Amino acid sequence: MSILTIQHLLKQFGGLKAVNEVSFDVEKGERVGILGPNGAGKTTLFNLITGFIKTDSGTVLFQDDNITGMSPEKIANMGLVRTFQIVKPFKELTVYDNLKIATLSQKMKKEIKSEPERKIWIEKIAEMSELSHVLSENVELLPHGYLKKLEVAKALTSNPTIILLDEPFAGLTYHEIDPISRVIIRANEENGTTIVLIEHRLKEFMKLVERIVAIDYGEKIAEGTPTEIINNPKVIESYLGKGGADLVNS
Amino acid sequence: MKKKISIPTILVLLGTLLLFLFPVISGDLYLITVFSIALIYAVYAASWDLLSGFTGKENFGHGAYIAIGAYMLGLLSQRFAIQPYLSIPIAAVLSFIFGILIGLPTLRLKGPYFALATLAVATIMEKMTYSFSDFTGGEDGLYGIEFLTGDEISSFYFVLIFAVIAIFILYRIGKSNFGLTLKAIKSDDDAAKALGIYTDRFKVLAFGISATFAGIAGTISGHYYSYVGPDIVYPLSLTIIIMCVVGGLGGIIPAALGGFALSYLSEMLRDFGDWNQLIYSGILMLTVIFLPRGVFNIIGDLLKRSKNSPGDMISKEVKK
Repeated sequence: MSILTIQHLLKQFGGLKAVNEVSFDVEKGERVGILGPNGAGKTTLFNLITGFIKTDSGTVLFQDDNITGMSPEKIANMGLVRTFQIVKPFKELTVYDNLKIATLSQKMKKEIKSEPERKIWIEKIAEMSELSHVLSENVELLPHGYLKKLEVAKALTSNPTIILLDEPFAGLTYHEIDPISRVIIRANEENGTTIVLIEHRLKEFMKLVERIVAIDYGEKIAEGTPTEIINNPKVIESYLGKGGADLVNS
Repeated sequence: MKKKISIPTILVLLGTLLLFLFPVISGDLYLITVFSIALIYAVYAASWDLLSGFTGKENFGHGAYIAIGAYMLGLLSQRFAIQPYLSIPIAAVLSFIFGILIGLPTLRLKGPYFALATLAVATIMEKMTYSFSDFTGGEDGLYGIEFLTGDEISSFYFVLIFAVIAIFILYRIGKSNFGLTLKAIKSDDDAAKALGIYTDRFKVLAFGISATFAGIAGTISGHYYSYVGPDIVYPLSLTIIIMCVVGGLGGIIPAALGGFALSYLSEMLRDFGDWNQLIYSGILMLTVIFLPRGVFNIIGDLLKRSKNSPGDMISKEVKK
């Protein structure tokens, strides 16, 4: 069953088509990757889906509801939540309070009835995200790897149906990627959260996702399994330039 | 887990207790008057902090909301001998509505534009006070308002009890999930929206609550002086910001203490005559340069500092 359907999404900034007629589906429970070089329009695509930027044309269907043009708050309350490439922790607050904010939305008010229940839920997510030992720390004191983990954990605390992760591994060392990768897989396998992921760290990315949508210059150039995608001439050319595919195959 | 009462809390409670006992200990009516006015300023500052300290939306026209409470009282008093028990609820409702009405369009503005819009609101109100001087008394203001109570000492207790209740309510709001959400909005509006927080609604409601307490305090000051005029309302917009910045933002109590302390200080500096503004401004500049987080925030942190230095947990983790 398709949970998220993107149809002919278009966004122009002046003369530049940042996202040009992109269409694809995401199935329930899937782990989908969005691949493309810098400036391909991946983050703009996320901004369009989550309502942070208004689309010029095209539609976004989420669980059969047309969410095109809705406010980011409303979309998040429906269970479609995104993270940001540049971490956005709530400053001057503890990790616990950062996660708590995610439980104060209208959606979570219905799901969490009492303060003890809230505490149990936050601690559960913290345990899953391997943040339990820093819950009482102020976020200002956390290293970058933890902030990246917190970014994912915040989104998970809002108990989303689907989560759009914008480069969760950016700027991390190999050792820091592993825990975040684990969190994403656990959320997907244990909670059934659907995952859509933008990432440049290809090795880790390929291990994580089951299907890839490749984008270049705002257009969808390919779609398929990781193996199909890395052998796709168009995808190779988008990274290496024209003739890149021949170079790789020779 | 037992909750320990922290040293700053004990000190604030002790200070409040001292104020309650002050008229019994000393019969200095001058100081009692100074304290009464300082307490009203403490509420002004605390109410400003709830909007501006918590959400980072600096309101440069807080005087406008004080004016709503004060002038409502002044205008009604021309016809009726209106008593505090009636004027306070009216002021609360009117200033809440006014705060919401101003907040709805202006809180969408970002950064300095919001500050300018709020400044404009207060300026327009001030100009209107002069333009409609037939009603407002213009520069002379309005007289003949019922006194708060019969004498200075009972008026002092009235103001003190009001201030304690108002500041306590604002403090509790600040500590609640509502206050936490406001702080998240201050840190990153988009990140809060991404988690499903309707940030505009929270900000507008905070504006409404902030205006309510400003309006009530404005009414009480009108009763206290038995007078309402532009001079006791409009210059406050800036004074209050200074008080909050010096006291410390985002915790209600530090801002309230800033309001009380600076109000008291400016009264004490009167003896210096022409020098008083210079000394006052000098103190402000020094605090902003050397204690940018606010005097009482820093004192509070020093008193509370725990034995576990922050970051311990992480350094342990890294060593593993």
